[in-house]
Amino acid sequence: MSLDEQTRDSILSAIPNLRAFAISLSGNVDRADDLVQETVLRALANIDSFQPGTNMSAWLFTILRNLFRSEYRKRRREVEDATGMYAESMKSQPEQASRLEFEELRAALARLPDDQREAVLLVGASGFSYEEAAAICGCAVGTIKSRVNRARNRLAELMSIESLEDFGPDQETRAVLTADN
Amino acid sequence: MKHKQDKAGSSASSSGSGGGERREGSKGSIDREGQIKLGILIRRMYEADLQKPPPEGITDLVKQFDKLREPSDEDSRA
Repeated sequence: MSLDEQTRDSILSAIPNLRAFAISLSGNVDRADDLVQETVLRALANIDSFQPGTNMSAWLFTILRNLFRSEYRKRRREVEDATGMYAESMKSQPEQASRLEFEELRAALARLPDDQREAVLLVGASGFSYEEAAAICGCAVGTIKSRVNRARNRLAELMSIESLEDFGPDQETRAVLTADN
Repeated sequence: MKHKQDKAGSSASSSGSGGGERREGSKGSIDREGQIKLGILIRRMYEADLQKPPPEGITDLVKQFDKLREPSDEDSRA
């Protein structure tokens, strides 16, 4: 068995997204790298079970998500610290102005139940549709919608989100989002 | 991978407030503006993480997969 060029490229192109998802999911960069590496190893070992023409990214995210649930959940208590150690470990953002907000968000994400955190990250960050996220998590679409909704509300509560006006300089993104009503 | 920018800030859980003010002391739902703010923040955090290059060891696993799995010509001859 060998990797054809298209399969290899699709795995390689998915790695940054897998890693970004893993960082937010696990709350730790080193752990995220371990998680991504294990995901890639499993994917390569089981590449024959991947159906060409289907969504490679979704397949890899499914493997990563299942790995996290089975192997990393035990370590969750290390992340769920209210003392700020978790946020402290994540200080690696390039934009000084955004760093505090990112740290606050990461700390809030760490407080969410696993199922809500993965749902809001898959849909809100990784760009999967509700249907794709449901397939990745092995649950109904309605369940994903509910989890995303609860996650949003909990995050907003934890972060005391009140007004759009005091948020960041990203006018272009805001314009896109507000226009999509 | 496709990115649907307004997922976290979409109307799936709209409070129906039409972008009005967050209700003082309300719990359990956020308004449209709150959803937008949260969606933007999640996306920006994610984009920042995307900019971090993954360790070379991980990408090398994929790039060198065939070399690791298949014997070289010399090995085959031996």
